[in-house]
Amino acid sequence: MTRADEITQIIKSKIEKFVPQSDLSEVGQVVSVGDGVVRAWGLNGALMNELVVFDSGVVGMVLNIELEGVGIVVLGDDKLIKEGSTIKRTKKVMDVGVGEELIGRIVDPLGMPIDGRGSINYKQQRPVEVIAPGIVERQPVKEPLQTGIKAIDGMIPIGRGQRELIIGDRQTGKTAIAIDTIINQQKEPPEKRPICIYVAIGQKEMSVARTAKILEENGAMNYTIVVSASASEPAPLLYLAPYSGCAIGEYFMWKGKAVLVIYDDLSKHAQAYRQMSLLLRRPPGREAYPGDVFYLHSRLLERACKLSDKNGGGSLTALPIIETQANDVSAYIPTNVISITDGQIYLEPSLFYAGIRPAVNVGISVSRVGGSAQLKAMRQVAGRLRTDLAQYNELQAFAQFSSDLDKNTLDFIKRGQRLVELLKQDQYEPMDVSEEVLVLYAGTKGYLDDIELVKVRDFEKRLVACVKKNCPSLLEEIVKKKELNAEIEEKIKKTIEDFKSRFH
Amino acid sequence: MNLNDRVISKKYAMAYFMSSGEDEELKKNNLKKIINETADVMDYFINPVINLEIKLTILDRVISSEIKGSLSEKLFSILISTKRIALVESISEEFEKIYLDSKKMTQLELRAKYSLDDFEKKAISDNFKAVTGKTPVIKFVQDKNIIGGFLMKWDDKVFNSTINQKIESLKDKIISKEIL
Repeated sequence: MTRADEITQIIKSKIEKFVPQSDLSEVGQVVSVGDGVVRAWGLNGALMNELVVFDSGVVGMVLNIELEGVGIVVLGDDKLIKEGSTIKRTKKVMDVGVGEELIGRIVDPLGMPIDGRGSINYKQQRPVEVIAPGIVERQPVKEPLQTGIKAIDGMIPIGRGQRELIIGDRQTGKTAIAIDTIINQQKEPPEKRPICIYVAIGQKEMSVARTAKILEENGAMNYTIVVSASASEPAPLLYLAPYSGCAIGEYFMWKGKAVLVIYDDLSKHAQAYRQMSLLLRRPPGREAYPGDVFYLHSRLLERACKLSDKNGGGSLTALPIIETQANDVSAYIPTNVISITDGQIYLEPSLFYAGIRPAVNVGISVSRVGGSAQLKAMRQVAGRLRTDLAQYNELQAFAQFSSDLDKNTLDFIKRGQRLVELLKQDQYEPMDVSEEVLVLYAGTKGYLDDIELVKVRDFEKRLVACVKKNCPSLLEEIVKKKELNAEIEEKIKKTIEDFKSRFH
Repeated sequence: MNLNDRVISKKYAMAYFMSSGEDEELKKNNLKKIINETADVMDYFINPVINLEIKLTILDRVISSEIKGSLSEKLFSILISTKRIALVESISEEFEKIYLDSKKMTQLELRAKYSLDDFEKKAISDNFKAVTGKTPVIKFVQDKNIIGGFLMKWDDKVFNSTINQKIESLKDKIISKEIL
């Protein structure tokens, strides 16, 4: 018998052994369809969020259960559904494929690859909606998540497992902070490096492609997954995208890994949910959002956590992004998400256009839990940074009367100007934490006070380059010891003074 | 028909079922009879331009004497005056369901390629009753698309025991690599 015959025999015997089962299914009938929403008769036993299949093969999700029928959102092309079409229950809630095979891929909220690099062979599925881990399963945030951005790591530190909102008007650099944070994770050792998940909600395909390209060029796709529901997708897919991204992240978190999930952005997510809710005829509330729009985001962000050591010690850090309109942080969705998260990074257009980038307004940006996770060395150097900058902001109105001011005030203004200059940072150039400690030390201890303002950034760049070249052990020591003891501090001082004497 | 009309039909059917004075069997037969007798003039009843008095006069003239004064005639008059006469067919269907439900019976649509003999029908009926606790009122539909076996539909459930379904199931298992 040839090998081909053997294979045929095996297949034949398997088919013969196959025992077909009769199928008992619960069905309903489409009463009306339009705008991606179906109202159906029947399906009496349907559950909330249950998946249903239309006779055309299109899948839908039950979102309204009413007295005499159900409201279903269509997760595909609703043109294939007609009045009277049969709908079948699947008795399954929405789930998404998860696993290591997703790393480096771009997928849609249903887990289907959209990067043209072939199909993904999932070995595991996870429900998209799950209840967040409880108190017993968690532990307090204790490890830092370095963004590589001096202003954030110094003054608004983020811990692993934290939820930190990035909020600001359009074109103020919100996504840039998120991307820089992803790129910066490359500096972490592989065993500690977080898996990054970038969830693009309602963005242009072009923007997502550009983001993916930037990540690819910076070598960040090796540990990143992109989940994209672009503006051309129907609202239900936009609604699902952050939950899918979170479910993918949870798979890694429960395996004991650190995960960083970026939701870019939740304003569009809320808008998609508003569209669905209005079409499902749910009563509109403030700004026409439905009553449960708070729960929409709170149940998503509550899934970010630091698991206890007993549960593997994994973490899921969430960086949701909210776009404000004309600086209005008191609008409905911004206030909701501000109250849910553990702090916010507020980006201000006026700072952005004044050339202060990242345009972080340190006065109203805050991190409620990250302080305890901050590296001690960073806390030592950046402790006074926030208060110094706050005082500078108060005094800078008087800067134009410089000739009439006393020396103390002038010194404050001078220091503040240099600190603001020092905190400026180019895009896609996140810094190592030890480098941040070094330059912030120079700034807060007054080594920059007699440097010309226009030369501050040059000083910073050359100082870092010099230390990297001549004294890399100092940077290693900062990371290793995690705090500045007298010995390290002495070395830093000496290094800065040496460099400064040669700087011109 | 939209979802609201279905809900309204169900409410009218339930009210008609619960009203006293006539037994359910009589109500059911009278409703069917009045629908048959008024089929030719239904367009007049639905027409919003025609005066209500004229509609009621026509109704009085077309229905037979045995229905006059019955609950079905009263229901018909109410539906004409509330401009919901178009729902009468669906009310009748809903009434039928409520009636069968009260008798622990259900309508069962049975589909097969060839008509089933009495022995097969009885076997299906007995098994159905044993599983659901309801006696089926079988409506047989001959379906040439079925290769073999049979398919049953009742309430919002479908029991598919056709060869077509079994082939589909085998196909799915092969595609999902559960078999090969």
